[in-house]
Amino acid sequence: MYGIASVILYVVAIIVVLYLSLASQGANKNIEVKYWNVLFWIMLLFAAINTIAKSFIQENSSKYLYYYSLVSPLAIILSKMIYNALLMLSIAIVSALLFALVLGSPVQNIGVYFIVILLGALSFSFLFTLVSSIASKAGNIGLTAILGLPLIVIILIYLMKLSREAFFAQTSENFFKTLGIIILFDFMLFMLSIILFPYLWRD
Amino acid sequence: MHSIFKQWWWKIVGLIFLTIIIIGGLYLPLNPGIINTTPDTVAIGEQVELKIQTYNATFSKEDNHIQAYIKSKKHILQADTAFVIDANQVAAIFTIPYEIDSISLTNTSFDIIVLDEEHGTLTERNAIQVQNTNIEALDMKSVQSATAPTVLKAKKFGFPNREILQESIRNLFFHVPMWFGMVFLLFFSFISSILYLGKNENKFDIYAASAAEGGLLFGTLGIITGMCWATFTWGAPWPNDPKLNGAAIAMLIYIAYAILRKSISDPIRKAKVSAVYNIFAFFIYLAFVFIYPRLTDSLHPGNGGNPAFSNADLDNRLRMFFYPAVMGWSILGFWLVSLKIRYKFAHQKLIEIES
Repeated sequence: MYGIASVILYVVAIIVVLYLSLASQGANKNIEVKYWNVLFWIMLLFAAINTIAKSFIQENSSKYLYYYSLVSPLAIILSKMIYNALLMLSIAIVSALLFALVLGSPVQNIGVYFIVILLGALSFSFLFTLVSSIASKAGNIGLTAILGLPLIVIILIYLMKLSREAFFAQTSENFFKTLGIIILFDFMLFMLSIILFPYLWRD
Repeated sequence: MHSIFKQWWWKIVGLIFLTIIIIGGLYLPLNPGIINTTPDTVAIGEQVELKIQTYNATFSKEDNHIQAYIKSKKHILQADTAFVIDANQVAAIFTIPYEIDSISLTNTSFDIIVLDEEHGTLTERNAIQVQNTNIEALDMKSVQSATAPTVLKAKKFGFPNREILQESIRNLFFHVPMWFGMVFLLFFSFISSILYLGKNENKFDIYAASAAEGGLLFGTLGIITGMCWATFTWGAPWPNDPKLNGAAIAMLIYIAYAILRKSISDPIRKAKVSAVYNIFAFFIYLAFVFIYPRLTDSLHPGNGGNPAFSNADLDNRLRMFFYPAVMGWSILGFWLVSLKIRYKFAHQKLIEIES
């Protein structure tokens, strides 16, 4: 519970900073849709890095040894990924609501937007869970950002493209193409994570 | 694998290829082409003498088989006369009619075509623009479109002279092979990482790390040669192009890999963790280099659909040097990496002896 509360507070704090920064420039009213979109995803990206980076550091080493004797690495990575995905989904929903509250919402098609947010949460979770386990094995939590950021860029671009579809009542013909690319990507990340994680765990 | 590193025959092959492409690729001349045409605007009804400045041509005054045409999308018009001024300058006199095939020429832009047996067909696209000035002076002449001249190839060997590219087309033998070399080396690194996780042999970790360093070097050279080329052809060193951005991100990924290796001191853990990251990163690298540019418009040849070279971009004269260039640079890359690997093995042995 403490973890979730701190993450929500982190997101709220970022949005307050963002809002006050925009207001100081007189840009908080009628913000252009494309900038709204970019700000939202960048904020979500940093929330994801900050949240998921901690997922392997929090536990101390005696707890690790206990897990190691008790469960398979597959169970660990799956549970971490599912937990992180749910966490990211709730963060995304909270921040979308807050964004709508303080900056107004350009979203026309809530169903599509929910799908995009769900896929975003899955992508962030699949990618950063493995990267944070790599960083924790390297003994440096700060590595998560520099290892993960170049890897996430391509997915982030497609997520931003797809979420533009939610700003119009009708989806364009590219919708399913972009959706398919993201789903394929998520599947690839998921498979790579569950294949590679046991090698890290067996240390 | 290790015995191949020590053999010399493939290094000789690589050196031969590199010698061919450095001497041939830089020394052999370009085919003749048109640099510019003056004046670049003509008026309807006017009889105009166009001065055509060429490049690398060897016209002689005795040559009276030279032909000149202007060609738009719809029509084609032959010059009244065309004659040689000097080796690199040709003049052609055109009478611009009011309309061709009953289609008005107002605001049409024309390509200029000059051809003779010796130099082949030289073209400059959108060389002149027709303006509807001098409306009283013209006789409202309408003519028929001429038949298109057959495209001739130059008799002497030379690399194609393309507009915009001109002499910089030689960069094809240096810029593009860098990316091939990078992909080969990173693929080698990826396979080594998989083998390391499978077999837990230290040598595969050394292979993977060295090949990734080599790939990073080739990527840096690819970006530098690409920036030189882009400044010449596109007017800016870093236009917003998906291939450039993808390449930059790929470099970041492998710099992060190098930093990850530096940050772990325990050698076995370092090998294992970096192998996992390398495998994970390679799939995303592939997506960046091969899938992402296909989905967005690119300035690169074959933009939009296919980032590969099409037949139109790469003719046989270029191919003769391009394939050896790819092989030569890739072999040089593996040679560099093999030296790095042997150095690391030697270093390791030294530490073992000392301890």
